[in-house]
Amino acid sequence: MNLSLETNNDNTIVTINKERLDVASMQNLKEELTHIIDEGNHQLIINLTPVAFIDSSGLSILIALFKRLNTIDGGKLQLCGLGKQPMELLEITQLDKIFAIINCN
Amino acid sequence: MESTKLVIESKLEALDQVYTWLKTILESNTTKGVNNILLITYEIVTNAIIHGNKRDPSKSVIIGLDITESQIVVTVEDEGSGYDILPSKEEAQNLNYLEEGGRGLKLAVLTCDAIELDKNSIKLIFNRESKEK
Repeated sequence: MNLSLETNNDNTIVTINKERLDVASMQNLKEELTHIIDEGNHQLIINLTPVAFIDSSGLSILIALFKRLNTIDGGKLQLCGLGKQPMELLEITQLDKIFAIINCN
Repeated sequence: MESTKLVIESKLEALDQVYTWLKTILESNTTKGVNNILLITYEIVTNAIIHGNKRDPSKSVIIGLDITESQIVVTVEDEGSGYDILPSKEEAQNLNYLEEGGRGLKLAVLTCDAIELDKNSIKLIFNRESKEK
């Protein structure tokens, strides 16, 4: 299991326990995250603290999550724990203006 | 000048090797721009494995790294039929924020100082001056 879950009020905090969010991990992670949404968790905080590196495939997982939750009434995606490279990637792709980025605490 | 290369099988698991190899060398040679070089190389090697060599593990991807005082040059060569054309700078700048795929080459065009194509080999050139000011 690459993910750990905890709940905080209405939010489900999903921690991605991998050093890299990349093309090699994409399929499994996508399935696990889809399952979490299908179980009724629609306000997700993705904790990326353990993630040191994201590639464009990893980014596509976050984009797919964002789009899926946007189609659900009350759905919301927030990101926290962004390290240096993940934050730089969001800035290059201008997704830092699209995603809600918060502190983990 | 440091010049080295890594040969990997065409499977996504081999990206572990690429990441560790490149990160270790870059971090011992430069302080800035490491994340970007790592990202772009990762994207191009992924393309080489998936699109160039069609994930055929009997085919190799060769990654060359040349570090001089002024540049860091990464060369990625596969056994495929080669690149057609690169996206233009304008196309790369018009990234669709929420597009789920097709970002790798656009990111390369956006962030490399120069890119040279030669059949099934792509050379990514990063100027050290601009990265280390």
